Amino acid sequence: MSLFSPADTLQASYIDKPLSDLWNTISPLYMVDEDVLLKQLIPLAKPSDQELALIEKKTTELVNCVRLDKNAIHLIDALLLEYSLDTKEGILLMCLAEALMRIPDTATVDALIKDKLSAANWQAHLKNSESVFVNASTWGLLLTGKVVSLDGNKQEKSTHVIKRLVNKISEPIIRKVMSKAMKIMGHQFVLGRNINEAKKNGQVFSQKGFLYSYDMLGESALTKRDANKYLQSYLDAIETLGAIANNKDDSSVSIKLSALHPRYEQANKDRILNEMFASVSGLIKRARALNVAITIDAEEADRLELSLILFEKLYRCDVAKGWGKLGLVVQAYSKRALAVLTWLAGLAKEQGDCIALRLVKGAYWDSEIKLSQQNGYLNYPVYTRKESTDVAYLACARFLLSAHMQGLIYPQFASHNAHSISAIVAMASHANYEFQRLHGMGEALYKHVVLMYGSKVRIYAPVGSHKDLLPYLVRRLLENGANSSFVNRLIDAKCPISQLIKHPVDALQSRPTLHNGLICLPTDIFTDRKNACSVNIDIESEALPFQEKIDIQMQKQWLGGSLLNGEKTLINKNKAHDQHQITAPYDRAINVGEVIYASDKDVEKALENAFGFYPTWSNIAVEVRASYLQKLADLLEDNMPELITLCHKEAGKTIHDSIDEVREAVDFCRYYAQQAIDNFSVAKDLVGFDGVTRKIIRQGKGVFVCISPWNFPLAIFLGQVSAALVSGNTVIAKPAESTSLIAYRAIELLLETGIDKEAIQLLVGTGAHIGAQLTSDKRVTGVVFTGSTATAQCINKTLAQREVTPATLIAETGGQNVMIVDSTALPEQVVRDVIRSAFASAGQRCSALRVLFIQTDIAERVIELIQGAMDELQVGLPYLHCTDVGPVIDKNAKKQLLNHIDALIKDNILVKKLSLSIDCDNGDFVPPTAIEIKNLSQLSKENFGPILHIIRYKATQLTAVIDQVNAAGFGLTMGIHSRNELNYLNIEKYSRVGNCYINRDQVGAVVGVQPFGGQGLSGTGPKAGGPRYLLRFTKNVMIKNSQIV
Amino acid sequence: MQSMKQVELANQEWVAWNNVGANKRAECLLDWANILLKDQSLGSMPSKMINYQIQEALPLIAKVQVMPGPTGESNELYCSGRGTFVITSCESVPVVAVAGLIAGALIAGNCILLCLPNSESALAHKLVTTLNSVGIKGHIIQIVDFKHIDYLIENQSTAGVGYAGEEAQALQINKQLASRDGFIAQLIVESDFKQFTTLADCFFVYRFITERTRTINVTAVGGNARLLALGSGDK
Repeated sequence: MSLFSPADTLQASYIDKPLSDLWNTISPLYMVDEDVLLKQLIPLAKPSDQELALIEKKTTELVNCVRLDKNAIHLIDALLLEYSLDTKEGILLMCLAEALMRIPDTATVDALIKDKLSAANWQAHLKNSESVFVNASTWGLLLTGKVVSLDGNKQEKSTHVIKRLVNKISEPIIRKVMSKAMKIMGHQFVLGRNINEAKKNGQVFSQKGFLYSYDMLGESALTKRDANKYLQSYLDAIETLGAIANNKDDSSVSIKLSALHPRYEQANKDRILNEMFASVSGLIKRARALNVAITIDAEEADRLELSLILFEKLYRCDVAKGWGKLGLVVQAYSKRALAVLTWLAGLAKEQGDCIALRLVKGAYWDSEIKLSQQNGYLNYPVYTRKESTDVAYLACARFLLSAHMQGLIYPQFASHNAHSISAIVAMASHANYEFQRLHGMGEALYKHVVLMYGSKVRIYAPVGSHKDLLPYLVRRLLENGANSSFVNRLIDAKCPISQLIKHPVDALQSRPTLHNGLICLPTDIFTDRKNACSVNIDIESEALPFQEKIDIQMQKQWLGGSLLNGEKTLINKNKAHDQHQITAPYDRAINVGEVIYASDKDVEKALENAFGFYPTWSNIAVEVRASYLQKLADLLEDNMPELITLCHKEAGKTIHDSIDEVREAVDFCRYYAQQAIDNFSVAKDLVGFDGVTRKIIRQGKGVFVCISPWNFPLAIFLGQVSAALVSGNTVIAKPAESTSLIAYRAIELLLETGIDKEAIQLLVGTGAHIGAQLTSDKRVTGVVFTGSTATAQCINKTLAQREVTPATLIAETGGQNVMIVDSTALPEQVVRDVIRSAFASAGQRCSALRVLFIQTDIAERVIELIQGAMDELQVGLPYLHCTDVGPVIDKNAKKQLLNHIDALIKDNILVKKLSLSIDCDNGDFVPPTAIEIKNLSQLSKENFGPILHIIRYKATQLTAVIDQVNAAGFGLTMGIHSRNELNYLNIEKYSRVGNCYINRDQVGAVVGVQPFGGQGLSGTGPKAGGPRYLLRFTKNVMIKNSQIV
Repeated sequence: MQSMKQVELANQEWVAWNNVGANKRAECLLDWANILLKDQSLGSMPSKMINYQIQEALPLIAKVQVMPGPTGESNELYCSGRGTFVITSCESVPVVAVAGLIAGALIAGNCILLCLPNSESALAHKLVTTLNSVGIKGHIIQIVDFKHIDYLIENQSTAGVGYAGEEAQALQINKQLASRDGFIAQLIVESDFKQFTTLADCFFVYRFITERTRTINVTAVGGNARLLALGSGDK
């Protein structure tokens, strides 16, 4: 922030700074304090008295004109007014519109219509609107027109009609009417099915002097094939526009970079700067030859820096140099927006070619907020108030309209806000700019803008088949309901004009704080604890210092062993002892360090220590025990680079997985600490069934053995240990032998907190040796285990052989996790979630997707997308940003997984098996593989790796699918993709699983948000990271006269 | 074999019983407690125990718990029964212990195979008849002849065993359960017939439930309603 001073940007000399200096101001603003930045932007946005008077006068005039215009309320405006997206009906209408036209089978169409029609109060909207379009879109009225007239009963009450219609919903006529209604909507949202039709349909406005920017809409490409398809559609648009008298209409084409490359991400920067560069420069070459301007759309905040680097490369390349018609979109809600503009201005000044710049407010606000919260970033990349975005928009406009920008940047202001428009007109000292509006929105407003100011206006018009584009647009509307806010108020006669002419600076300054007090910072989303922090490696200012720390750690080697009462056993004392070298799963030639396995004597010593210290530990105040976990959480965050490096080197985890691993461990510590304080610190009076009041407190049960897996070597390890400790048990921790080093380091950090060293004993070694000795010992009160079902059964048997009170066993075991997808689902979203669920962490998560059940009607498309998306996966060295899939844990796992693949592909259809690069030669890698099988019974056990099985099912077989899943006996996670609420809730209800995820991926449960654990063969419960977990580690004890009795 | 059939029937009935909901089940069980209260031969303690179990269990399991978290998705945590529990005891077991086990298992949403020693067959009959009279009938609770107790414990499709009796026998049952293949079954033991330590635990019902979470991404199909609703308002 110190590098950037918004006020200085208005000085002409500001952009004369070296371009690298201007660039360096951008990234540090990513998560800058909102209040600090806004304070500096406000002077730029604040109007002079003269400007303010003019803005208020002109806005009032505009609003009055629009409200007096009888043709003002129609089309999309009217639809949004009637079905405001903050009503259930509005949302449901959009949901129906989004999904209906892509569903191939009629049974599913009927079910979806019924689902949406039944859920809301449609009749409330009947005849509310005078717009024919809205009434045509109001299902009740639309259907009344058809069905009631068939019945000859036009006087019937609408409520009866709705009910009757819902009952008759399976009739084909209803389906046809619905589809027709959707097509009507499609026509309104989309200018044309192809560029020729769009040109033709646009003539009405073209003749009035409006310009067009055509947007070949579609989903982000998941595959090379789709990217090529979109590239071709852009090329066709350029050719068509250019063919019309060398684009005499001055039309432009907007391109969405994510449609042109399946991996448009910072992680794949090299590919983007080569492959994407080649595609886009090809487009520019034709566009330049045909005089068609190109504008590059803005997307998510994490892609901003990458898009700018690519833009610079394109702008400077020979095909674009000297052209002056390559443009870019900048989102004003981004805290980096003004800095980006200055850099672009500097770039333009350096090269001399004008840059067309569309200033928008931003369309991904909800998802930016959500992503930052999920990832625990320190702050948001966007403003948290609408008014703040409006202020930033005007501040950016002030910069763009300043005299020294002329000839460098051609501003294009995209807004449907009458006030913003008037403010821009008032600020401008020249007319060298234009306004932009969306096709179908703001027609009346801009009609009067043109009449009042004679402004140049361009219409941003989506082009494509209605089937593809309607869902796309509806999703944008759903995700960004704020689009409708000003439009709604503008045409709503009940909204006083005084509200519409309030300047955003005044509105913002009238708030108690500049940031939105209702949206807490990502670190504060939990009321009882701090969210674990993270680092965003897609952002330069975050990634570079992080990488430097990792690079140092990567040079290290570690030495670990058991820790008994805090003492390191045998380390460096006797080389001849049971010493084991740890090598990296991704390259067995890399020595990570050494561990010394515990001896029988060590195990006995650990038992003695833990058993002996239990009475003391259980009587230490809960708050004190919890404080050690709180300190540990902070230490884990402080030591994140080392722990991440250990995750890479010892467990083969990728960067994102490693960050998530540490964060989860931190969350466990903080969550259990708080849970313990909340539940165990105060004795409670309990009136028993016999009517007697007793004072009860929860106390630890005794010695807990924590046996943890290698796949979450830090998170699950510390989750178990911290839960047992804070509940008042002493702990003997036995981590997986293959990930002992990180466990050892974690216990070292735990000891640094000042915890009583007798409370925690770490034993390093094999399960067969140490585990057996521990679980057969009578001093052990409980065992927490995460691992295979078979091992859990073995532990259970061993424990049961002891002639003592049955031990507490908390086992979290395997799963045969499925995802069920019906034909209402969006294939692209499904495939994204399938790829992540099945292949992230090389499929080595308990929650990972093993079997995808896909409805036959959409199976071909989904499988084709899966194949294409798998082709884009990068398998390799886990510490590289570009790596998606790392190695499996060891040679044995690799062998078993490869055997499974070989056995299965003999009699089934191999959908895709990736080839491995030479990077994988020295490690234990398994190629991500997808195989289509016939039924679930072909899988006798869980295959813990990057292997996806696919089964097709018919819509009528859904119940049988659920029965199959239940019959398998596992019950850990399930994914469901469906737009039909009734359908997904029913699947969830009748499936016996612990964690069900609907319309998202099924991995990555968050502590305290999605408590994790299964049922049946998948575990005993209670769920880890849930409010009932600690109770299982404790027992009730009675207090009398402050003494336990 | 009759007991095999009974296990099957109980498991079939379980889905519907589990879906009835804790509040509705509680109403039935409270009625049951009232009926038992009128039976002077039982004394008041069984009835009190049932009332106690319901009173403690309902706040713990009846409601779906909305979990905090990032905006744009809903996260819910709720409880479900585990399946079919075998409820058994030693001879001369206090009725209050059996009633507590039954109440805990039923309120949580489980079906029951009541398999008491032959000496307690009249008690079993009385408990089941009275349960039937309050609407807990069909295969939700069935009496199984005590000669099949080993079969029931060792049957892989029963969720677990609730046992009231001596610790030595509990250890034996534990061994039997552990020797089963398949999932790890629950063993819930009340061996303290003075304090009823297990049954008196206010979290007793948790031994009979399994937890489930339901996460729905609401940005996918309905916009981010929560954020939209927030607007620019202040606290």
